[in-house]
Amino acid sequence: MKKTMFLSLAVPGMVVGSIAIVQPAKADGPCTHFKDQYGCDVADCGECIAWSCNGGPTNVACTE
Amino acid sequence: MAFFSALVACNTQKEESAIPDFWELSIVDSILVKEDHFFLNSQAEVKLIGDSLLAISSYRSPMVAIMALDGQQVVKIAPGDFPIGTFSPASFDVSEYPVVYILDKKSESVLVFNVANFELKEKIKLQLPEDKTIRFLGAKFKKLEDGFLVELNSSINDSYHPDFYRASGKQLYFFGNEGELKNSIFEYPDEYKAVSGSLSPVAYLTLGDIGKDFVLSAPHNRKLNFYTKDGIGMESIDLPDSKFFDYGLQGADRIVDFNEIFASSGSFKVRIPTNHYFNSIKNSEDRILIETWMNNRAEGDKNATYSHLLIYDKTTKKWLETSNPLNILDIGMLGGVVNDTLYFYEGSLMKHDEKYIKRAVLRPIKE
Repeated sequence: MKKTMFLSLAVPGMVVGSIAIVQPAKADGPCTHFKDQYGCDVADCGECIAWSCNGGPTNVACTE
Repeated sequence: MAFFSALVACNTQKEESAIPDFWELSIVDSILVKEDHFFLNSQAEVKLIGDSLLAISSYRSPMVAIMALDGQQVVKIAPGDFPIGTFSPASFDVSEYPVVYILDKKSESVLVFNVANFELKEKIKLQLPEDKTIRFLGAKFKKLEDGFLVELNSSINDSYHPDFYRASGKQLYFFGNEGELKNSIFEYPDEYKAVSGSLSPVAYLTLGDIGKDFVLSAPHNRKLNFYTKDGIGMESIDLPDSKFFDYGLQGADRIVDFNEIFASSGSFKVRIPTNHYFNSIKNSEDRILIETWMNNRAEGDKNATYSHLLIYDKTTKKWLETSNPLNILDIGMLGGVVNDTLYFYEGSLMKHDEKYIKRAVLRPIKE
């Protein structure tokens, strides 16, 4: 289910922000969030990860 | 230059005697990595193997790659190469190379590979506490004689929430060779718990492998803590004053929702103050070397992250500091030290498409 949802994000024009499902306070959504050593914002959502560097476009990669 | 001037100005009130001696880090040469066999997309962690190989992990294209110090690719361990499906390398240990231990967040396991015969030897499921998960990026991990040391994060508190630091308890867990949970150590220091807004969610905790034992530092409490392989705390030494490294810890003025980070862009980008932190701690026969990661907090194209070394001389028990911070896109990540040569790897793809192994030496500055 998650995979299907993320793959649909690869369609140009859609924003990953709309699927970064997490409550502001608690991590009870499917994603965990970090910043990598190069300043890129990263969301780890299981089968897929999304990252955005320096305000640039959001990339999504799925491993299954 | 403005970056350094500002930092020096901030530190003028410190006693000069507390500043460590300065050395210069000189890049000797840059060796182009020859990508004949596979493509490594960016880098997460870099570790030297003996005196001839370098191991590099990547999270964007999940793999651990081994390459020779002359830039030749040797082997990769990646999903699809073995009959285990996908995995997510949170960290790895190459202390028993050609056996490679990969901490896999996806299966919550340690995957044991022998790259000499390209074999997956074992998959050891870790018995994680219910409220914990393996850190996705920059997890601390070490193979021990009788098991593994693994950094676990809260699975309840988001990393942008102060409770991630305040209420997540111990961060490092000891597991036996069968994956059984044994004990845990190290909460975030009070400096992190005191921040009421969102902290930039980088890996503040750094682990240095010093043979059988290890060191830990969450640098903003200015301590370098030594532990036995069993997690028994030994000595703790003060980190030195620095001309460049800012020990201040700054959070946002509120708790930020990650959705805001990704949904915002350009001049409307939601920003959280960056903090200086340690990228790695490496060990050599006579020194402990800390590679710092120092963002200049500048806007737009002027934003850059610099790196320098804080060096602890084990014999004299004194600190040294390199005098010439370098852009991380020019120097890369420190892999380790062979004799007097420091090996760095720069394959971030943030500045150019090529990847380089950089050799450098430390030189005392003559007055």
